[in-house]
Amino acid sequence: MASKQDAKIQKIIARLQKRIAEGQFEEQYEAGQETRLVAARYTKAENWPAAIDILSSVSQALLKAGAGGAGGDLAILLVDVYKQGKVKPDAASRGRLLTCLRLFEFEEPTRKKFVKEVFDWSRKFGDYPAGDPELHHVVGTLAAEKHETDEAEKHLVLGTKESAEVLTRMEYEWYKDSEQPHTAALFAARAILPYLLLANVRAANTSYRAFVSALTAENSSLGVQNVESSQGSDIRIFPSLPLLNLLGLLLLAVQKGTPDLFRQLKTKYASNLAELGGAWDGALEMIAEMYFGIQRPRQSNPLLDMMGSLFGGGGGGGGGAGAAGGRPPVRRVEAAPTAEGLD
Amino acid sequence: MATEVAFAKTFLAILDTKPTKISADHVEDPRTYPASTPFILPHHPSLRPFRKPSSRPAPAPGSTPASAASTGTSTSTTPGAATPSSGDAAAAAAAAAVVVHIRSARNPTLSLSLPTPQPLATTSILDIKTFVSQETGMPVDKLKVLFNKKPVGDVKSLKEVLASTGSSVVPEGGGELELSLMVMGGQATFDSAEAKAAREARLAATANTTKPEVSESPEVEMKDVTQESGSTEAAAAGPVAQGLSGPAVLETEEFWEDLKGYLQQRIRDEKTAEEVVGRFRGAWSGK
Repeated sequence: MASKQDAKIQKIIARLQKRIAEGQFEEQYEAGQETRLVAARYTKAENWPAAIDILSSVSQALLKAGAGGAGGDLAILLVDVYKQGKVKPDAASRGRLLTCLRLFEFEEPTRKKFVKEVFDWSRKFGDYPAGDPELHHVVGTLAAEKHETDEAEKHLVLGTKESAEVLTRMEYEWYKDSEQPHTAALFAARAILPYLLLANVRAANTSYRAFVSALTAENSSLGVQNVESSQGSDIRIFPSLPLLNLLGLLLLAVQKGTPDLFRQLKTKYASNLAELGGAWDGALEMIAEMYFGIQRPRQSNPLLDMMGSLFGGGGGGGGGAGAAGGRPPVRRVEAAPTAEGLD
Repeated sequence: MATEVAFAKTFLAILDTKPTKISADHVEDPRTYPASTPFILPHHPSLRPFRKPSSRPAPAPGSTPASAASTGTSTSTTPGAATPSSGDAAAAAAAAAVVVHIRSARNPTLSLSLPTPQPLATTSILDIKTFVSQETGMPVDKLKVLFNKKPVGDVKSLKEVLASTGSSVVPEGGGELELSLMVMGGQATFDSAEAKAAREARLAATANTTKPEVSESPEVEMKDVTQESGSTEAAAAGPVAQGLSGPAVLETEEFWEDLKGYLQQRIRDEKTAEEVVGRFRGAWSGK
């Protein structure tokens, strides 16, 4: 019986797809409307597979035909059906959405809403409160291709193992586009520091390596010197790019995690950091706390301090200051992933 | 500026004396990430937005010509040779499409081609699997796609698959791409009742319609046979090059045997193949 119904819906889909491929705007619009009706009928009957099937097939056909508005609406409806049917993110459910995503014109107005709904769904029904990494990877990759740097960064830092290379490639291209050779570290840091803040040391290292090798490969005249220790740790030092050296040394230091290391770096590069106008300060403070156990400087405002303690916001000292500053609590990164909460 | 090197030397020496607490590939479980937006660095005041890719794959109708003018700064400087060309390459890659062939060398032996060239940027491996599943009735989760002997994930687009090889093998225009297929459970999966039923249902559906609707299916030969002699000539003339051509070919027993052989091989079910040949032949003679 199931297969009979299956055949029926396949027939409807085939007919609509044909109409969309051959028709003009009006026909496509009508096909979209008809799909809505059919899908609503199946949704009401809680026949989720059939509703999903027709919505994903027709929305993709519309998006392919360039009818972004109608196709986008159906794609959004598809996510809505996922939610109603409590569909979990898996290869198939995610795959349909990714196919839609890739078919959207980047500028299509419904795309934003679709992306928002997709993550809303994946947070609610998946294992990842921050959103499914594979979805992040694809959304971020598409944004990177369009040079939408903020969107690309926000998604790629939460992406998969492969995201670090994509993000770094974008930052590097952006760096080249900026035509300011001495600012390399600013761009490399846009990938490295956010990864460190998510305790993804591996991705931070991948980014650093990818950026440095692209930089050295394409700038043969750039001064670089390999520094090795007796124990075998090594790093490439760029005498003309102090902040890039800071990033490289920081990546080595987080593995050791003693506060003196961080303080040394901070002292050595104080003047370079000052030139950034505070751009890295917040990130570095959090890194100091996460990896080196250095509590963030307390708010220097005594009134705030007092209020903090009055309202019981001082849970765990440093954490209290963080809360007062409206920043997320920071968890110490340690070898065992079962780290205790605040220090 | 030797101080940079000197400092690094002393710093590394100190590092060596400390025990390693976390490894260089430490990763927190992403399931523990908070639901809040991740931290990204603020834009430095001197940082100018990344200029948009210079050429678009398909200029949207009615789009303003402001695409390149979005940067207010002087763009009169000599354009960095790399930037525009990489933009063009990206655009070309986005528009490019390839003919996809899927082969399974054994257990079961299979060879399929997607009916139309697939756009590289928007076709995912899952799309390919779904196609194979529709064609063969084997469930998607039993299929594994390999490229250059390495398994590729569902979410990858063909473009990403090609890019992963490192070389710029993105074919120009009408290139071809061959993917290998591995079937979990092998022949048993292919022969499973479920897969068989799906194949039969599909076949029945195509046989019933017979009309140009079948053009969706990749078996060009079948379609041509059932259609007007005009198009048949070309298709049928190929195999029997020097012999008969045109509708006369369809009078020969040999032709129908050939077709049956093909169908049997394709469907892997003698009975169904017989039935289909019967229907085709009946439809043709009753024309």
